[in-house]
Amino acid sequence: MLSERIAALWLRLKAQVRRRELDRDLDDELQFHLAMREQKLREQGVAAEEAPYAARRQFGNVTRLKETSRELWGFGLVETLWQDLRYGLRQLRRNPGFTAVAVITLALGIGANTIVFSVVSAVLIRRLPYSDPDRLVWITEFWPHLKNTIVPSPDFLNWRDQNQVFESIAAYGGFGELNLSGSGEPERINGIGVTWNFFPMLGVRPELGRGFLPKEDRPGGPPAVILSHSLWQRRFHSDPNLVGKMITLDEKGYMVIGIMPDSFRFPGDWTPELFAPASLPLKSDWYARSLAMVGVIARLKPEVSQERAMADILTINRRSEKALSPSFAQMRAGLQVRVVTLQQHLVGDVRLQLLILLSAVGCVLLVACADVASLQLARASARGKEIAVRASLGAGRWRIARQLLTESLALALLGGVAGLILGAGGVSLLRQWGPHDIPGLKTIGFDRWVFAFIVAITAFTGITFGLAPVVVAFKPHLNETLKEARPSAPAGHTAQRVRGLLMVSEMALALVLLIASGLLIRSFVRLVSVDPDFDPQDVLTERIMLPLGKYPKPAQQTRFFENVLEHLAQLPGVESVAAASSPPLTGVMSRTSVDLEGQPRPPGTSTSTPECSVSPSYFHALRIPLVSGRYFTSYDVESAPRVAIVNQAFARLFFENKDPAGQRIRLGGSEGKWYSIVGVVQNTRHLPLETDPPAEVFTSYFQAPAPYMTLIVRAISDPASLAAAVRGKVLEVDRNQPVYDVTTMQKRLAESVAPQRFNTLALGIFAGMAVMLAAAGVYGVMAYSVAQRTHEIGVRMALGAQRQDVVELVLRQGMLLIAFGIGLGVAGALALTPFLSSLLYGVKPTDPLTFVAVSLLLIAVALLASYLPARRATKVDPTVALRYE
Amino acid sequence: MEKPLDLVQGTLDMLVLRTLKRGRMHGYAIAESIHQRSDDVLHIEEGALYPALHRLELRGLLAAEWGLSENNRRAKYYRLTAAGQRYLEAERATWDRMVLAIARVMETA
Repeated sequence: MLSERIAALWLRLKAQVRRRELDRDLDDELQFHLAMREQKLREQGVAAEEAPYAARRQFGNVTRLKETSRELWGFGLVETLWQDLRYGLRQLRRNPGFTAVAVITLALGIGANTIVFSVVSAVLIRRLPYSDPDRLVWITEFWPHLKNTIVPSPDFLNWRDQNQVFESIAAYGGFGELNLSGSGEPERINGIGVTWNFFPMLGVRPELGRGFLPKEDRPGGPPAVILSHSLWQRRFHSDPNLVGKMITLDEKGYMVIGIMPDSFRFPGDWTPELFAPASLPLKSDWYARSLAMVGVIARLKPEVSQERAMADILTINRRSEKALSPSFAQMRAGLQVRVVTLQQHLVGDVRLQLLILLSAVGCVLLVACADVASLQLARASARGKEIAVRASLGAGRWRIARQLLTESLALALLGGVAGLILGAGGVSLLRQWGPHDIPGLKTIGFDRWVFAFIVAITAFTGITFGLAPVVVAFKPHLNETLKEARPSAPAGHTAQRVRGLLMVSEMALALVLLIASGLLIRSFVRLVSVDPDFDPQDVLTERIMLPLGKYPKPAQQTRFFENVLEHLAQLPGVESVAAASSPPLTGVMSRTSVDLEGQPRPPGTSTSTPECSVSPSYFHALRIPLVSGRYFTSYDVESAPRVAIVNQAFARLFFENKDPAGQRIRLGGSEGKWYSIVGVVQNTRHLPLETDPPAEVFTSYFQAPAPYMTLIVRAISDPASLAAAVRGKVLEVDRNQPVYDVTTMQKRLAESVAPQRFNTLALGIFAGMAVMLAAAGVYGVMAYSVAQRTHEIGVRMALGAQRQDVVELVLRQGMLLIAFGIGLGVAGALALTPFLSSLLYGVKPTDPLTFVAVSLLLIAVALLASYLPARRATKVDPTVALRYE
Repeated sequence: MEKPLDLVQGTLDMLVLRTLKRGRMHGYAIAESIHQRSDDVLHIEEGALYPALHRLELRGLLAAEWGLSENNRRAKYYRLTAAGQRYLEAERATWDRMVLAIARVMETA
């Protein structure tokens, strides 16, 4: 009957829950039986005192009986596991020294892994906060030698109108930085133009108000903007009635039509605070007056692959080029297209970095496991007797193994909890102080992936180092172990061999990490000592972008900067001031096309060359030496003949070894103006620092004005203190003009190597941890070996061996293991460090100097770790040692 | 006392179930009943009896409840369930067939 089956199942379940009650019931039942039997015996004539014992004897093994019944109830596995766990924890408590060392070791390993994995989880694993993010792709066009990641709008418009592979395709670009004024100090904010379908495609919508309508997204459309959550909170104090009101950007009025939610993350590596319609032309037209450059994101139709999308885009490009002039089409012939997932675009660069860090910290964990395994082995050998007793009481091999493993798991559990605490601390530290260029770093935390990871590696470590004593326990020589007072030799041998193996692997792992770290350190030092070829000390920079609405005429723009420079020169503490459109290290580089008079362009050069419009004092302020010719002067005004200064790289590229002085060049394409070269200056480096200085051409800002400039202020000392004063002077000239991106050149230099610094630091820390743990492991193994050989050492010393000889004897044993460890480590490093080559600058991954130096370092550390126990061995009193059995 | 015969577990189950067909009993009474009815030939070891009783209870062939014994002690009483009844009949049939077959083998010269 089903009901009876269910009743039986119910009993089983009840059994699990009400264990104690059922235990009592079982006891009562048997007691009752015993009592009845006792009574019967007394009726049969057995004496009153004798009856209970007789009854019991007839009953048989009560304990066995109870056990059988209890096993029936299904308590078996769970109960024994629980018992083992409690026993394990008791044992740990009884050996506080061992437990402390083991738990700390494990905590270091697990904690470090937790920290790195939480970064990996936040950056690589966690999906982008858009709907169905795997179907979103990022499309770029690029020339093989130039890095270009944005797309001219005519191409985007063609793709939009002709594609067959995208569910939707959107773009962002333009707008840029604007001056937000009114209701407070003028502030410079970052805005971006987006096509009307940008937000719907990502699956996000404004929290308040609405998104853009198609009819708003056209040239000459209404001035509508959507604010980011942080701008709304910060500047407008979360005003709930802001939607529908006007704000002033670059002296123009815009209506706020929506506010984005706090959870929205813009799919780029910066955070715009304002969104406006991209207002791209309605149709693709290469010959339009202005050309916008946009970033393109699209959503693939279901079942469409990235390859197919790429092919489709190439087809559209080819088709559209038929309508172009032959020379233009020719120029585009080499243009390539790349389609990658949005996820990869956003995090692709750091993937390798993070994986390397994860591998490094994994090595640290392995070393920690080896250490604890070694400790366990020492303990297991000492417990040989206890295990023998268990075996003699009837415990099977599996039972003993299970018990040992459970004890290890208990230890791993403690280590895991400690590691969790360490990890949590590390994660919050990282969130505050982490480098900026790793996307999503601010969002790291303990999500379910991190927890799952912690549980997994805790179990992994427990099983890994738990296997060591199990291996030893499987070879118990019962009789001998019971008879001897100290652990038997055969088991000791296996244990020692395993410990030796552990020591060798620890050293190899530590060496690999040390070598990697050494390579990174050397590379970093090289990078940081790259001479930028100008003097970045004590220089403050601030950027200004003039609104074209207010300063439409180029002459007005120049006059503004001239005024500001005059005001700035009056500040105390200022040595010199200048302005430039793209100075080094600011990440800005405007380009122009260069043509030589009467000379064809040298083959293989691209048309665009970095161009910088400067005030005459520029070279003086940055201390860029003049190689030949002259600097700009204040006589090089608009009405004077146009002059240009070039750098050495330019001269070499365009004029080879001839002196370019007096040569004429045309800047700005076929409609540009001709300039005479009057001077050659030394090269300066731009970002990234590793690349060679590019060819550059300089023009005077009187003759080639620009509305965006960087103010350069060389202070006598402490440039940062001048920041407020500089801003004040700018406001004196124009009340509503903010400055932005205010830092010193020194800080820019430091920031430009921030990712390398982070890598080097992280890997260095991990290598340090590995070395410490490995040294501890070596010490442990050698100390134990010495303890084992105390008897032998006593004999030798009694027979006349000197201290020296004893030390040598002990060290010789260690040397062999150390040599193996180093050898294995070097081999491993040779195999693995090539993976680092993309992170290295100026250093080969097989750099012999690093390998040798690091190996020597590790040998020294290992020898020291071996020497200490060796020295202690010599302090032993021979008579004591001899008696030591 | 003569050396008790060894009983196969399945046979013990059958005997217990048959005993309980006569009414509800506690463990001691079951053992006594079998001992008496078999004329002192079959003596059930407690080590076998109680595991058997618990096993049958878990399988749903017996149901148990606590009550007071003749001398006012707390005792666990077992009774046969409907499933137990059906199981007993099936086992009985199998047993009879087996006994007949063995007898035939032993009889033929």
